[in-house]
Amino acid sequence: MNLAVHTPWLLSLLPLSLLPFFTSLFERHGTPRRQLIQLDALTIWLNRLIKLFASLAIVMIIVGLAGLYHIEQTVTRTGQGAHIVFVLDRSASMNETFGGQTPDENEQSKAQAARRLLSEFVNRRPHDLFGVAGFSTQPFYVSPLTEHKSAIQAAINSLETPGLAFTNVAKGLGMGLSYFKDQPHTGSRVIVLVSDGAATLDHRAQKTLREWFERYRVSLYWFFLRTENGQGIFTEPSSSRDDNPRVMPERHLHKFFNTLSVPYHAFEVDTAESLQAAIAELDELESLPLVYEEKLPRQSLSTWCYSLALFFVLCLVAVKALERKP
Amino acid sequence: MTRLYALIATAIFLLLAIFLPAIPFSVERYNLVFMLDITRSMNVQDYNNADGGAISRLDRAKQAMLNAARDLPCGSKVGLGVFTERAPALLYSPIEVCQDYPILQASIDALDWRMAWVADSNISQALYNSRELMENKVLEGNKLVFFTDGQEAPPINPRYAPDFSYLENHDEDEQWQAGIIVGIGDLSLSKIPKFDEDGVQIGFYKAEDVPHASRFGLPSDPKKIEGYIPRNGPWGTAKVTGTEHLSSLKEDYLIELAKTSKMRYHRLQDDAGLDTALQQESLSHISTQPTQFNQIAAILALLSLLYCYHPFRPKWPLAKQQK
Repeated sequence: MNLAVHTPWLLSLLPLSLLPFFTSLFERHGTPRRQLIQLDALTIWLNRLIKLFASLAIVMIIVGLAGLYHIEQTVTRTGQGAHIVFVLDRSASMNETFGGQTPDENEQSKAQAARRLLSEFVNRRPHDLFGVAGFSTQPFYVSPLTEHKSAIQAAINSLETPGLAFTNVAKGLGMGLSYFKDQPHTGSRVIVLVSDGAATLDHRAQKTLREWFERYRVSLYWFFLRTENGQGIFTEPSSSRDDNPRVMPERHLHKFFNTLSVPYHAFEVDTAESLQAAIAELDELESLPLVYEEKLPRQSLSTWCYSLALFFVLCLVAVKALERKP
Repeated sequence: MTRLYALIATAIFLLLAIFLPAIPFSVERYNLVFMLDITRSMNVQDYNNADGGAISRLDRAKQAMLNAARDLPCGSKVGLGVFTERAPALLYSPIEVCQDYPILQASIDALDWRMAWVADSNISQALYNSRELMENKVLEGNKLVFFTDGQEAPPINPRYAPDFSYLENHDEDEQWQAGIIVGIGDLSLSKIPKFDEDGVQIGFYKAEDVPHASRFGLPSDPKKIEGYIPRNGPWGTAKVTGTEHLSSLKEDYLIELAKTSKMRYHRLQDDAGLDTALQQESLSHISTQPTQFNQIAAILALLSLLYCYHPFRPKWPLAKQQK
């Protein structure tokens, strides 16, 4: 039995339960001759039983007050799910609409659309662990891989606030990958990169990313929030002269991701609806069996204690009510 | 007969203890957003840890934040953000301090000056922008806790100081406060560590590394400036040297800022001091929390049951015998 009490010192009151064995519940009555009272075995046992009931009632109330509970347990289960790290672009351009304008009342900014849809996605996936990392010019650690949905939602909420500087994808991905460093490999691992721009990666960054993706076996989803008339992942260069990472960073980042040894999916998203479709596809793809630990919360047993005590006390009430009145 | 009634009372109290639902009860809670200065002057080591070793302002502030979050009553919420230059960045909106404590701990531990996306440090603008951020709908009703050492780098031109009256004023309520500024650092000057690209310390900032006076915009009073030339030298031609390569807690400046931005000021010394500074009525809000009173009913049940068995009862019912 995995039982524990919340305030153990209250158990020091337990000796009080011996009181019924020293005093009687009933009034004493003088009787002229001792022989008038028959002390049969039944009487003796009934008397003991009444005292025992009273004693147990006191024990149960004290144990209930001390807060008996069934300790929380972790049960290992197999379900569908993944370890997902969102790497969120917090650059200033995320605050514009897909049309590249400042949002007004009817329109959402890219960040707002992403926030709403990611937040729905998180709510739909009860067994996943989520982590959040942000980046602009520098990466920042937001929240570790956790099953606390409220905290994940709070981290996604940050997309609602103004963005910062530029887009440094490499550092953001590095931060996201580092979340898997000390994590047991129990199911599929996913990085969801949500960005509206790309950047050139130098050789050092490319080498590190390639190594880390391989080491941690993390599949990559890139939700590229394309601004209207902007360059996309799949834009073909008009001339071979333009086909270089400086001019077309998106295309070349995509090319680099394709050379990684892990599964990679790119989604070019230019409306809130297509973002939703992309997230639905992610939902479908990442439902491999996952070994996860479910925490069963601690269960208070106080109510059971009080109920038992109530049963005993009701017995006592009945017995006491039946007492011969003088 | 009284004992029969006492037993019946015990049964009733136990029934209450079992079935009494939680009753909404108003309690004081705190919804705070911790905004931490991650500019370079925060690397100055002018605090001591428990062993007497020097620790940086940033590390001390992180300790203090974690401690303050831990000491808030359960049900309170803490959000986290950092600022550098003029812009604050929210990492997450407030989360519950007891249930989500592991996340608070992990993220506060991970705060680093290297998260800074730009290197300047413009405290008054950052404070203004943080106040503005607090009006965002995900942060509604939260109070700002602004951890900074008050070091402006480069020095600012007071003429372009932000005007806090543009913000939502809450003028109708004299007592209203936007939050609290927590001053980090020592009042005496210390050297600011300098780091290379990989975060390795390569010495300290020297006088020639930093500007010592504001060069931004136009001076408010040109007459005071030595060698003032309207077009070619609006800030004078003389070389200005000062102590801007050293840093101390700019307490007077922060107190002034706190006053204009409807905040209070507290200087971080020990954790208990910060706890009392944070857990003030002006930062709290009253929320109703369902509260269980079952324990009290159970205590009453225990008392009335013990009454039936208390050992000081006279052995014989005296009054009746005398009759």
